[in-house]
Amino acid sequence: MTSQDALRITGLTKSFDKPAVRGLELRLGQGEFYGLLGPNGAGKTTTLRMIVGLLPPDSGSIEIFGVDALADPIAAKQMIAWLPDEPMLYDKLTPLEYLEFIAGLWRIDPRRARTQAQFLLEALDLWPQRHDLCEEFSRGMKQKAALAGALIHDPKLLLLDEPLTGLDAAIARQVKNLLLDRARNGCTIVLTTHILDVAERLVDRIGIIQHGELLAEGNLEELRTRTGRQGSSLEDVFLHLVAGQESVPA
Amino acid sequence: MTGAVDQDGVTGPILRDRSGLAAVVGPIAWLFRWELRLQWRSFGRRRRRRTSVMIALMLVIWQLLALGIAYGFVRADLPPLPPPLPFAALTGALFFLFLGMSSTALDAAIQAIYARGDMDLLLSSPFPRHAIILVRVTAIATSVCLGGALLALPLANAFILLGQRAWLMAYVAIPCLGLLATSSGLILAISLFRLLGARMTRLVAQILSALLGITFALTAQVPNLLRVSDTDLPGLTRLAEGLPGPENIVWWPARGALGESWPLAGLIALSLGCFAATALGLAERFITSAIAAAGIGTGARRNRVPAERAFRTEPQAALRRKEIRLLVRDPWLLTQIARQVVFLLPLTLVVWHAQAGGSSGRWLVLIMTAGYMAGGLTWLTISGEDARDLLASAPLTPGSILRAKVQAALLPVALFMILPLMVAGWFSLWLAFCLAVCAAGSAVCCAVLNYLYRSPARRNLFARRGAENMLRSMAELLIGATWSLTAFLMLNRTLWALLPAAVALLPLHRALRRSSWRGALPQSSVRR
Repeated sequence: MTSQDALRITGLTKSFDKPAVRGLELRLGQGEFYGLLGPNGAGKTTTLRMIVGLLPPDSGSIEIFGVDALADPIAAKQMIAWLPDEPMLYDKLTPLEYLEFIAGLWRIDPRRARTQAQFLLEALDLWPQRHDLCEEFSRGMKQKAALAGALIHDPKLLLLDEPLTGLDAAIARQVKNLLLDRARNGCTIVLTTHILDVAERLVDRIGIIQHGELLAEGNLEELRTRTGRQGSSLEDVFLHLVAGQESVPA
Repeated sequence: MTGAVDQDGVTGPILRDRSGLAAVVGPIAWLFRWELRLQWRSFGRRRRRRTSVMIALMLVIWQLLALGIAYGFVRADLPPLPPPLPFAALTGALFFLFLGMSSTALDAAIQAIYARGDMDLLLSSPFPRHAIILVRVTAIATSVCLGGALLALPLANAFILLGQRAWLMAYVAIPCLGLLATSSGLILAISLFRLLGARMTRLVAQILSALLGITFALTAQVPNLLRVSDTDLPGLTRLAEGLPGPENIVWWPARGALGESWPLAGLIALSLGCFAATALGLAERFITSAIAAAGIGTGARRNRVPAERAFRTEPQAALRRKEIRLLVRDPWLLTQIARQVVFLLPLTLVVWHAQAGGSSGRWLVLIMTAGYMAGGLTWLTISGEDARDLLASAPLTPGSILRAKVQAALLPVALFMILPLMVAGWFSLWLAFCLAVCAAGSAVCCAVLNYLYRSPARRNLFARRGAENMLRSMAELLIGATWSLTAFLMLNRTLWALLPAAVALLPLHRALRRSSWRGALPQSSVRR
């Protein structure tokens, strides 16, 4: 971890009609690829939505590269990109126009944005479709266009909620390669996924969350040691950890 | 397949254990109940009880109003109209109703082909294909007939209550018209599908449906446009001489609706025959259309490839440009806006004929139009935002986002007003100035109202904007009326003009100060 954390979460709590996130603590270094795993309803998406500023937490603090995200959300958002499982697209815009729009929201220099847009669309094989309306796209193409939108402003912290859901193998590989490339270039990535094989191969560190609390954290070897399941797959470790907490009251 | 009882008490179909007619009718009735339930739920997911109460209340009000209208007619004891004018009047009313029903039927047919997305599920079930289509088409016909009945039957009830029993025939004529309208809507939808293909049909049909709706609104104004009074006997006689004689076949629907046995039998046979032929004859095409529609996008492909150009990335301009692009690329939305503006036409004609405010008073309707347009467009840009999370995660203040959205909504209104204002200016500069000030006031107030009462909604629900929040719609009309009064008083060069302007501005100003642009875009309350 570097001297300044990319993301530092302290005592984060959020309740709806029952607690969704309970006193979450998280520290991520720059360039770290972090997998936040958990069963359905564990609080993963709620956590990401609080980090990105879509939900106000009940208590706790969020710091992004030293910036208090709750006190100065604009400065924090300037460094973040958020990619939910449902692509945030406009059907009546073309991918190029969509990227121009995002570049406008993040105040990117027009020339840099244009170059970056072409690079991303080419990298994701969407350049030939740059003038087609997004409503024509398949689910995978929409997800790729949304990913290009998330990357066009060169975020320092990338939050991905189930980015590979519904993608075919070829598109999923393109997306994974692009993400690994970003992480190598210093972008901190938080990824939630139910595809544990993907997490096992992509991420540096794993956090397992259930009932809004972090059950365990570390790389795969550390998690294996902790559960006493040497040589097991992430799936075994995950199921073991989650099964042990099933009786936790709401 | 065996039966089961679901949580709402609907029993599943039993295809195996029955014989004869029950084996056919039972499953069809079961599926029909599901169709009706889904149609009812399309009115709104969370406020069904409130919707039911509102509909019941409006029905009672409409029934009382119809009773008043009918009483006025009966009490006026008008001289009998020269033949065939009674038939012509009734034919006009039936045509008016038919247009409205056809618009609904076309909408429903397109919805059934494209939007429900359950055709694959149904066709993969052991239900007979023709039964599925029959149920779907019957459900469309039911909703079409119900819509027509809600509009016309209260009036018929009122006349029946006042002793005019011939109106009982409306209970036969309206379902017949509904079946005919359903058949025509389905034939039109499937013909468009064959002619234009899956990609274009939805768009063209939606525009066509909106145009039918506009014609429906215009047809209601024919008496106003003709300016023929029902006491102007020489005028009416001249009008009657130009029409076909009473025995002509064109009056058969009207004569049938009045209870003449042969025309009535003809009307029933025609409507049932058309409906059966459509439901059974077009079943296969309906299925293939729905399957084809499931595999395509929803809009027209852009054939023209724009020239490569540099990006422009100023945030406010980017937001405005995005909103304008989304609007101009959606012809259906444009027709819906036109359709809502056309519903102001009755008011226009009342003002026009009443000559309220002298000859200048005719221009005041522009102020209502500006307000209504601005309200609709602001609803689209704020409540109808497709990617709320994207904007909420952008490094911009909610105020700057909302300001850009309101600006984008007001821009088309300003463009729309330029030509009428130039024409008004040619008559009188003072008139143009008053119109410009009051139209701007009306538009801004309606935009602010839609900002204050924002709630997340899909853009394709724009047509139901009024029903979604009736109070807001009434307030929009009130704002338009208040600014029209301001303009009227300004034209009379009195300082009293400040009073209605203040009435329109002050409550909104206070509400706006309380919210102070700090509120974010309406967020969906989905808990993740």
